[in-house]
Amino acid sequence: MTETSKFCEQCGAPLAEGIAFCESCGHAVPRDESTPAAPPPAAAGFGVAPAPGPQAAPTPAVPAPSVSSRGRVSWAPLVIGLVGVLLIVVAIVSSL
Amino acid sequence: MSRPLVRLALLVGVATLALGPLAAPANADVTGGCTVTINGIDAKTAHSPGTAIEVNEGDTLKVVGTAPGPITGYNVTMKYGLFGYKAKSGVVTGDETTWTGTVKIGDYTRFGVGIYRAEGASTGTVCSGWAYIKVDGPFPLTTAAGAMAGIATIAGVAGMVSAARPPKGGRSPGKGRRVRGSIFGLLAGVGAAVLLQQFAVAPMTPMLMVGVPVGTAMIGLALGWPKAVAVAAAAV
Repeated sequence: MTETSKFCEQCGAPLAEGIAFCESCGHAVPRDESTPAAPPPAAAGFGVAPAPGPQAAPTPAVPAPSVSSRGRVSWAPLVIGLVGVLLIVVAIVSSL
Repeated sequence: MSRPLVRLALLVGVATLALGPLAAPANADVTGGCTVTINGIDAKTAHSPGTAIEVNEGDTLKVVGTAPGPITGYNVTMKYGLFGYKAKSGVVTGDETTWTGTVKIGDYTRFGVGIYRAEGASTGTVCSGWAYIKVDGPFPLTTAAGAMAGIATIAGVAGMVSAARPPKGGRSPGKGRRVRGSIFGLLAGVGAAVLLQQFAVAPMTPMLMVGVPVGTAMIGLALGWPKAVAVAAAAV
């Protein structure tokens, strides 16, 4: 992809100028070819910047879930979903 | 603990505090040495869906209360979750200690069947009692309430699934998916709660009326989260 995306390809969130990862889902943002020189990707074929951390592994085609731009996994949806399920169970059981 | 997790913990805490009173035991048991019967059955014996007093939608509910002292009046209330409808009230003169109220079931369940809660209470010498009544009638999905609940549930679930799907072309930002998932989750929860009541699985208690829609809204919110499915898969 040669154009700078205005929205994340993965989650559709708006993208600020010059960021390497989507702030919403952590998906790597393809770099514009006109962008000034940047470190080359660790592996060909993915076309993305290396993931942060000691190992410069390439971002996989399906990135890690809900990885923030700081590289942390967001467990919020899982926790919220489980609390929701628990609430439903409690509501039904308490009504019986 | 990170700031989002603190916010989440606070949200769960507030929700628990808000819903706690809804789960509290019902307060309208037979009190004060009085008796309340519904269609000749002691109300105390019909406090669960399994022991609900069975009636047909065309029947009349006869509520009889007896108090240890003189009473001045009575009320019969049909309750549905957070709502209550005064179905019958009357004045008692003299030194009567017994009152009788009759309610036509069809006047209050015309849009559906299932389990309802009937309460009777006297004034003067205050006595109260309640019982679950199970209204038999047509198949729940053929009633107005059941059909609308079925449609709401299907539409809600479809919307939740839609919110969980990855967007295309950047047309649906992440926040919009979460909002959409929550709204459709709420819709599905309302429908599901009504279906549970209509099919006589559970009575429509305040906890059921609020807890199920809030719970499904939270599931919808989670499904609308970017990569929520991947997070669940990673957790497994």
